[in-house]
Amino acid sequence: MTPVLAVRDGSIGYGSVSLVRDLNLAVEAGEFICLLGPNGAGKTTLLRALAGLGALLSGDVLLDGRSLRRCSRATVSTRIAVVLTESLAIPGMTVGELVRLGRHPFTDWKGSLSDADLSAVRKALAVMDLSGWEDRVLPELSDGERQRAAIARALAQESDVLLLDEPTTYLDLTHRAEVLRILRDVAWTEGRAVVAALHDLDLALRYADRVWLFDPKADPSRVIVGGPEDLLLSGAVERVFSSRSVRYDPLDGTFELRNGARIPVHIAKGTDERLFRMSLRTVSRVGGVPTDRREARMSLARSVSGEAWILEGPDGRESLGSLDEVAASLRKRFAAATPDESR
Amino acid sequence: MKDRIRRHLLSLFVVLAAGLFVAELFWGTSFVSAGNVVAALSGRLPPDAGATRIVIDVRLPRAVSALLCGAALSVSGILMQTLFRNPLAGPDVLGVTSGASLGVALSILGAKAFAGFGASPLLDLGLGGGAILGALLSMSVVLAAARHVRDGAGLLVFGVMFGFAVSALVSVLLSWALPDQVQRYVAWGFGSFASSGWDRVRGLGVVMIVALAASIPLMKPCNALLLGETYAASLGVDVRFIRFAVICVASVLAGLTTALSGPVAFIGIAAPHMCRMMASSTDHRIVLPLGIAAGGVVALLADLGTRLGGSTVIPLNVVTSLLGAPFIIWLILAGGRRSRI
Repeated sequence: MTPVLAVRDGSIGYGSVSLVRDLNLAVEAGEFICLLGPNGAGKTTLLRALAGLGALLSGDVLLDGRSLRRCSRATVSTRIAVVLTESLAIPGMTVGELVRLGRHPFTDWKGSLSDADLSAVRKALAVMDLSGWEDRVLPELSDGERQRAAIARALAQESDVLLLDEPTTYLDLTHRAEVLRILRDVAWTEGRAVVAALHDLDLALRYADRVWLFDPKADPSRVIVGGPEDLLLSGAVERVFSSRSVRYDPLDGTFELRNGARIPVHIAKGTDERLFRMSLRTVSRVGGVPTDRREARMSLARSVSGEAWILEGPDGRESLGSLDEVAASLRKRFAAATPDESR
Repeated sequence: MKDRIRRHLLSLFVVLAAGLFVAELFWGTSFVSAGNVVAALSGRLPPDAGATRIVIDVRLPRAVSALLCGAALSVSGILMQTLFRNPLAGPDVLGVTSGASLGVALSILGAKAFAGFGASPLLDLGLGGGAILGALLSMSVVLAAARHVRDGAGLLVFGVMFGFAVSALVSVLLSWALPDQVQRYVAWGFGSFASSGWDRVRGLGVVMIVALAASIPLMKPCNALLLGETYAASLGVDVRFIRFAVICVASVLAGLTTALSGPVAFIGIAAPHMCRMMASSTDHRIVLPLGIAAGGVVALLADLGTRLGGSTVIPLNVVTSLLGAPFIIWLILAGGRRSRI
């Protein structure tokens, strides 16, 4: 089967500086692909090249096996819709006007919308939870609401390919998850190919069918393609997203700070999983390293009565009422334990 | 519902324009009775009668010129504001008006300076001819620049800088001019719809109507351009070509207006905002036709305003500035909340 959209022997970059070489990528209908990677790795450049809005340094983008360069602008616009990072806070423009512009490639020279066009617009608005918002003016909306309108515009285009550059920016957590679910539904139920560049690592890894992971640390830098879990297992995600002070934990999907005292603190497992996990977070948040080794100098446990936290160490034993107090005490103890290193 | 209101809005402006047009014919500095106006219009008076002269040869071309110039300025402003995504853009941002003023300054100075060599036809163009030549020359410069400058913002800066440079040239020229020449230049700078006789209105008017008609097929791509050039390209718009076409139409409209009536201020900035506000829309399919009618209304109103001083004629730009500037300020103060600008 020919992929809807593919990159053949592509390289991307600016001017004569190439960021990534030898790109061979493919998206098939019904597939939701997430583009992950640090800032400046070339995600936006690749997306723009895929949309025909920018050129590859070399190589070809193929739409249904045909070079994008040989497709007319009009054809491409009926097949590919984009959501860019550009602001759409256009003075005086309403949500309805914005979303109706999604039908632009399909209307006559006057831009009149047919009933089919209008129903596509209504559907896109409903999917993005914006029904009844048609007359709201874009600059009046919050950034997140406007972002939903921008996605609705692209959905209204009803294209075979949907390319989105950081579509979840500005959205609250609920709407982030919601947007990813919508994008995957669009791919799965309507058979469209969806490619989104994202910074929400955890969400992306939970929803994507496949991941294109930009690895600028590799030499030469490359794009690793694989299922989310495979990339986690191979350590690729952890390698790309960890730095000297921050480590990405592939199992928890969280970032762990590597700065601070890094003093081991034993944490008693206890019976309550929630309490245990929160105490783990508290300790690593203030720069400690949670451990299950009893030889650690400090230890944190729930009191027998179950109403307080007991913190023990070289500086004595304390009974503390909340994890907030535990954190404060730990910081004091860490500072006292490492006077030289912290300077 | 909303569409109906918009359609009514357009009809309202068309009716208003027609009413003001008629008012232009009946009301002027010299008195002509209503009966004589009707008689002159219907051709029942001899062509050399005073009333015929005033109504047919003075008031009628003046009204036509106001109507056309208003529409042209308004459409030119809409196009420029959309192209540059800048609410303060207007017909004059590309330096076309400055170019016209340079042409005028040259023709004023040239007429005297070369008088001794006999009137060569080139120098006998008069103010209007100088304005047209200047506008056309600066237009070609801007169009040439538009082919090389990649984005709208760059072109905007180019236009504004070009305007500054040309204005500076005008200042240099004026410093050599005689007092009466300076006075003529300043008077031209006040703008007036009255200075254009039938010959010029007929000639330039036809081109203006063609340019106005050419703006109609630009409505759809202009809607896409509101989203910015990248989004427009993703919607299948040939951005380079449309940008070129928009600049062509807008600068022809601005140049011809300046040739007909001098540099008329504010109509080109204010009328587009007025239309968008009244229609609560940015859709060019609504705003552009409305802009044609509303621009005509505003220009006719302003022209009638110049006659309010009785026997002293208030300069056109005084009226447009006094109406336009407060309107824009009000838009920013009141419209800031409603995000109109």
